[in-house]
Amino acid sequence: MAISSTSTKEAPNHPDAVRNHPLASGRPGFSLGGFIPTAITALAIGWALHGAEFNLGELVHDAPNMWRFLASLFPPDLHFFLDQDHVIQPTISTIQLAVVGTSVAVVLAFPLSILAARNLAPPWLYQTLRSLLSILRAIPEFIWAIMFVSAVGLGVFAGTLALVAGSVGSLSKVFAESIEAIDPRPVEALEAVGARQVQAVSFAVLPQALPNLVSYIMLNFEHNIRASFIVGFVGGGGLGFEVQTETGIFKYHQFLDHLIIIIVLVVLADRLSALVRKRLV
Amino acid sequence: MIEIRNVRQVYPNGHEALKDVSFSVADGQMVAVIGRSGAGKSTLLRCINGITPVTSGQIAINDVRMTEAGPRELRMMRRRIGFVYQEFSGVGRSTAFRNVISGRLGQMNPWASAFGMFPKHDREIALAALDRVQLLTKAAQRADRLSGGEKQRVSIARALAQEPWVLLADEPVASLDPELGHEVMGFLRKAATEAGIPVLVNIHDVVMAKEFVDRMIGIANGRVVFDGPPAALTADIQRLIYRRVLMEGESATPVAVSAPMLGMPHPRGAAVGDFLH
Repeated sequence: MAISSTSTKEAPNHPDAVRNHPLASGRPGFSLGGFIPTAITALAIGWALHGAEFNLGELVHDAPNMWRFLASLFPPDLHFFLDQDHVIQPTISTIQLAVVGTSVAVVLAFPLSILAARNLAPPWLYQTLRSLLSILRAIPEFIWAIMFVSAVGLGVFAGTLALVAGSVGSLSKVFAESIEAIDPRPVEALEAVGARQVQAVSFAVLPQALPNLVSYIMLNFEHNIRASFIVGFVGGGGLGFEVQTETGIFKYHQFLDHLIIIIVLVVLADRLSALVRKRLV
Repeated sequence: MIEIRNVRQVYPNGHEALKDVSFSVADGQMVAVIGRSGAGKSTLLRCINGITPVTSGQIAINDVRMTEAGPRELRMMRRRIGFVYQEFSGVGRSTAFRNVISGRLGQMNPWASAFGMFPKHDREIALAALDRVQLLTKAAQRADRLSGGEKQRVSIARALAQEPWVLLADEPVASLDPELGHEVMGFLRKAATEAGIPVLVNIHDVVMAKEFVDRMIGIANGRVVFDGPPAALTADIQRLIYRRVLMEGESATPVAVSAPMLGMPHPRGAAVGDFLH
């Protein structure tokens, strides 16, 4: 008690340089340099809210419509869950699609990310690669799927290619950024013992970046399970393809089955990711 | 053997870190380099292993001139220069063994070693180096599970695994408490004697340095102002090196001076010498 009372009540006994220091007053500062960016951001968000017809009132007002739609989905068709051709096989396809999509993308993204990391590659190389990767990322999976379906025909293969193409760009970018975030000192220490760059990557870069790389791989896997739905919509196979047919002919109870499966798959992928990270970090 | 002749080093920003430094260190000799922060001690070590180029003068290790070496020769030479840093410079997520065998990377096949394949010969050298710092039992442990003193011993083992011609240590005990500092200095001393190589240690803790080294070199403002055996380093000379300082002579028992400070929680562990300047 004695200590806290002296420190609170007799505190003003500080030198002027301390008491008059700008950081001593608790008042929030005001400066044009801080105000202008805040105002611009606020205006931009307001403009976008208007343009996007964002209206909470309308949402509340129209909520019953949504409720009616959801109600029309229920109950799920329990019998349909065991349908070999329309549920079990497409579910397996979806998992395989995501597994292959992510693995092939990782194999391609890994060397690309090393060449696209500022701390490993010469500037001309990483800048060129970063631009190419951002072009890759700019193309949505949906468009990739349309392109690959027209190239290799309807089916899971087209879907897989679309997922790979969609994943490489973003995986390479986040891999490269994980590599850039490592502590540079171990790399310098290896250079000081005469190690070559490939050895420095294996001994100092990868071990440091690994936990992040693995999280991004798992995140991408989860994303690909979801994206397989979209890709399936335009003929890329898996559950998405089934859903597209069902919604077209109002088979809502069966649609709900597929929705439940996809939610379960994504949750399982998330659990798996947590498990892998726990073991690894 | 390290020979340094008339070395001058000017940084691109115009700061003259070293002005005409000359001395040589014989095989098996352990030398402490003392001086205030910014006196040029670190620059000196970095010049010796060629990370920082000298502006003029010569540095030779076992008669190979570092100062005139091309990039290829420099790489060849660096394989033979062990370097121990103040902070652990290995990878925490890797095992002690992997950190130590990384000292042999310059001498192994680049691709095979990058994929984790090491010849038995190199594995044994790495394990023997861990044994010399008494960490053989912890070879398979991750480095980040080791204590601060053990990490520094891993750094020494990595340097020893290089089968170095010289060993350079930049403030190797500054982050350790005095007891662990003694231990680490002891291993460096042992390395100098057993491997018969020159060991050059930058150190702030003059008292501790005197216990272990054969010779002290004092640097002030980029010049060698003292070069002699520890016994010749009088309070006056030490004052000259550190200038505004609390002298050894003024506190008969330096440990007593630092004792109350050691009681304070200090994130890095307080070394006696940290308070002598």
